[in-house]
Amino acid sequence: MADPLLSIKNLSVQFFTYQGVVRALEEVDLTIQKGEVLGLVGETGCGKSVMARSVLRLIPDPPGKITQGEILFKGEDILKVNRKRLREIRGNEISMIFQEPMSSLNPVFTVGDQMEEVITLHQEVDRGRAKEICIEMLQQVKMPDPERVLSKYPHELSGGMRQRVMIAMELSCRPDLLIADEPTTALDVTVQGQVLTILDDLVRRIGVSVLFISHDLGVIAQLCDRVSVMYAGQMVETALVGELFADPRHPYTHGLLQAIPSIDEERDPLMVIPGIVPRLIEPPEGCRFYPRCTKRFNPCDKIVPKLVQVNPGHHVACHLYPRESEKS
Amino acid sequence: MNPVIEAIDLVKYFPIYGGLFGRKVEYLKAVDSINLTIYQGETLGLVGESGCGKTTVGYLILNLLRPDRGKVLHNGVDITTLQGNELQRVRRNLQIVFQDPQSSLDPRMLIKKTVGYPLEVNRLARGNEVVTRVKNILGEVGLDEDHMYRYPHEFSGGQRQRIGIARALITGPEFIVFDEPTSALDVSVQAQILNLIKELQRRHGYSYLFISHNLSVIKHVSHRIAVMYLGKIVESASRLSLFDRPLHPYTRALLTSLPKPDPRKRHTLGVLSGDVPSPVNVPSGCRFHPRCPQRMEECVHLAPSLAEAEADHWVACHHYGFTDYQERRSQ
Amino acid sequence: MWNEFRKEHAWQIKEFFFTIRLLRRNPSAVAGFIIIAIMILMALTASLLSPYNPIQISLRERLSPPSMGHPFGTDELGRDILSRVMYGARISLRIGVLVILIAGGLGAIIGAISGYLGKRIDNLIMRVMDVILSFPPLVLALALAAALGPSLNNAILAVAFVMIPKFARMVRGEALSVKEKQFITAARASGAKSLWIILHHILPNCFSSVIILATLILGETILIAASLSFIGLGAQPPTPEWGAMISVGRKFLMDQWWYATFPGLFILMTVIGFNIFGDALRDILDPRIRR
Repeated sequence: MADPLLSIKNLSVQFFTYQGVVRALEEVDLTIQKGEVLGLVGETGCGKSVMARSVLRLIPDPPGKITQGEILFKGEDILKVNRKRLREIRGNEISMIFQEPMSSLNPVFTVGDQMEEVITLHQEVDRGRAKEICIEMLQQVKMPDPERVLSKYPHELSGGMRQRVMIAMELSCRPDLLIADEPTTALDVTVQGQVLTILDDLVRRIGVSVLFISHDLGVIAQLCDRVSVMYAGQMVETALVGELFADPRHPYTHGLLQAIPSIDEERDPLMVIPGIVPRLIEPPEGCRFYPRCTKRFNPCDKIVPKLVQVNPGHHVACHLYPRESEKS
Repeated sequence: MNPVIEAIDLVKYFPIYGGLFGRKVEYLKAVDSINLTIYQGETLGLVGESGCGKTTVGYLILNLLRPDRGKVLHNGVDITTLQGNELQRVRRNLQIVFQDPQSSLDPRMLIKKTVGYPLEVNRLARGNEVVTRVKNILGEVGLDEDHMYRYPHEFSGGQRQRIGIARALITGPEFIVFDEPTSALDVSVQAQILNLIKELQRRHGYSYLFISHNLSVIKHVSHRIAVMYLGKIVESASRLSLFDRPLHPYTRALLTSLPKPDPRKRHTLGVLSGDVPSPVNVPSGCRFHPRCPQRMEECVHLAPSLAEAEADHWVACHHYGFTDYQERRSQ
Repeated sequence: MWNEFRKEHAWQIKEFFFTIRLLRRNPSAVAGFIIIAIMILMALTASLLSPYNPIQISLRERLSPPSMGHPFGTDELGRDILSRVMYGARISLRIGVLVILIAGGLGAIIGAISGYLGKRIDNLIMRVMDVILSFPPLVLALALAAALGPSLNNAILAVAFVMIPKFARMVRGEALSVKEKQFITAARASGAKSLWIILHHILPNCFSSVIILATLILGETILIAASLSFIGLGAQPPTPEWGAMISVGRKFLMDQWWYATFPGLFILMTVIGFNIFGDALRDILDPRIRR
């Protein structure tokens, strides 16, 4: 297999607060290949947003600190590059869109101003050409009447339109990787449908790799090629999307899939994962899912399970699948 | 079976002030002539996107907002005209559970008081009896006794929702409005809360109005479902009917926009163009016409009224051959 | 009994100690606190530790400069200024605390009612508050004190009246935002009446803001009270109130600098102490910083 575009190894992130040390990410691995859409799914507190921000070194320090690990992007370790190279990467080679577009768009500048700013920052073009690029991109995201939209302010646009502007802006420099952190969570379902269709289409056409973060398994199933599941700061399972949904190996993944009410089948009562997500301040030793796991046994509460391959492309971190029995 | 709640022709417009002198410039037509009936022991699911007015309907039914027109009958009595003590007496019977676990509990109030005060303000119990009843209700919703002595921030989102439910149930109501109770919760926690809500209904025979924008959740908890769009009900049917044969184009769009958690069932999302419009400038005729993939000429000028297209399956759409003479006259 | 209290208020106790810890680390909080502590200590121990009786006249020693016997010197009747300053602390603090209690209590209730009930009542109350606030505080207090008659208690009432709108405004603002929270709607839905909601939901949520405002206003209060005494409308002779002492000491400022200087210095320190402590407290209690 070719070298992955992004390869995160052994990443640990901690936050130092008055109440104690929050171990937000614990030795996490992740890879994204060129041209693939990787879904990162997990519930509140699992660390997916922290992971996304780590890639661009956006973790506020203090109180946060990347305590170990490496993030290899096109062969370079992002954690070690100098400021100048980091600026080149941000927005240009790796772009990011967020959940709430109102906070990423500056309310006192027009959409046009902001888009042009992004373009002229990274590309050697004059303002006229920049404006043309803006209009092209807005057409790519199926924005009606792009010229008029450029002269509007963010609050004059609806949520769905703002997200499309964000997508257009972040893809205008043709990045290698797009990180999308819950981009449609705040949108109504019909608008979400539109935005996801546009995003899917555009991404395939341009050939951008995507790290798509969401807690919504439906969206993940629709959009992604491969999926990684996180729980309480640990990576618990990674597989091709079809295989993850058809044959989830980790008890948490299995529980999560069972807990969603389904339009198609009767589930009464919904299968429940008992208990609640643990606090990350003094996390339990060993597997963090241990207290809620129905399949737990002896080593689970003492030793952290590592990701092990159970099928080609399918990795699970669970003592049910121990290292020794790994066969390819 | 007698209806516990009957909402008849409810209308609520919110005035918007603007201009130099702060005059009424526009009206936000939040709820525009809604009729609902909820029977004992059943759950009516109210589904729609933001701005459709579903939360306003919930508040109107509980008389937390006075309707501009129409009435709400509770066991036959019109509660919209009640005041003072009579209203307070009715309030014990009609309760609400909110969406946001952050702001639905007073951060400065002990759980014991938060859950117990409905008994005190209604003078239903005092002192030790309150403590006992609080303990009991906390147990029923899956919490411990000691949780009484804590504050909201010490609990997770799911636990706070349980507390909210406990507070709503402690006076032994007949009818509860659930306003997006699980929208702010994680999937695994949502499952717990939904199971709890259904179990409580089975055990005590509560009637529910369950408001949500999530169709899968609505399908899971409701017996009957009403779909709202821009202040009007566009379709209303039993659960099986609605999902087997959705009639209104908007309902169909909602269903197709739903991404299913199964990669084998990938389909084109996003059949609708445009955005969810604002209830301030309401489109003429059928309010859905600007986005409707099956729009016809009359849809632009004439608003369809809700009528029975199949057995107990109501739709407001010209494709099912209904026109509204009164609407035409008043336009 | 104590155990029940501890159980119910466990979290508040924890928060209290946490606040103390944060205050200890903050230099201005510590400095302010030391100053305040000195003043309070002086006030409490005045009768025990003051070297002389503050109103004891000793014409032989009148207007003597600071010395071993009289560290702050003596006034025109030979009374020891140090002792008078110490007793003066008692008076100033008493004024401060009473004014805060009256103004804070009344102001908070007025503000909460105004904010929660809204519309016409809010308009009415706030216009009245605006009228009061449109006067410079000292001038208004002066007018009131003059109308009520020169005495310390009347001065307290006058200053309290002037401070009410500040509390009312602030609490009204908080009430407006608390009013929109869902737990208020829940209370209404459960049948709670407005008065109950104001007492049990709105006021407790405004508590920390009121405390902070109180510490900041305390300094101003003492200053205004001193000014009133300076003019002769507050404390009457022979009461050793700081402002009154400056008033008389003014005449002697050129040659007997100690007379007006020491009380003035103490007023200055007290006001500064409360102000910087209040500032630090405000920062610390800010929920965003508290994480």
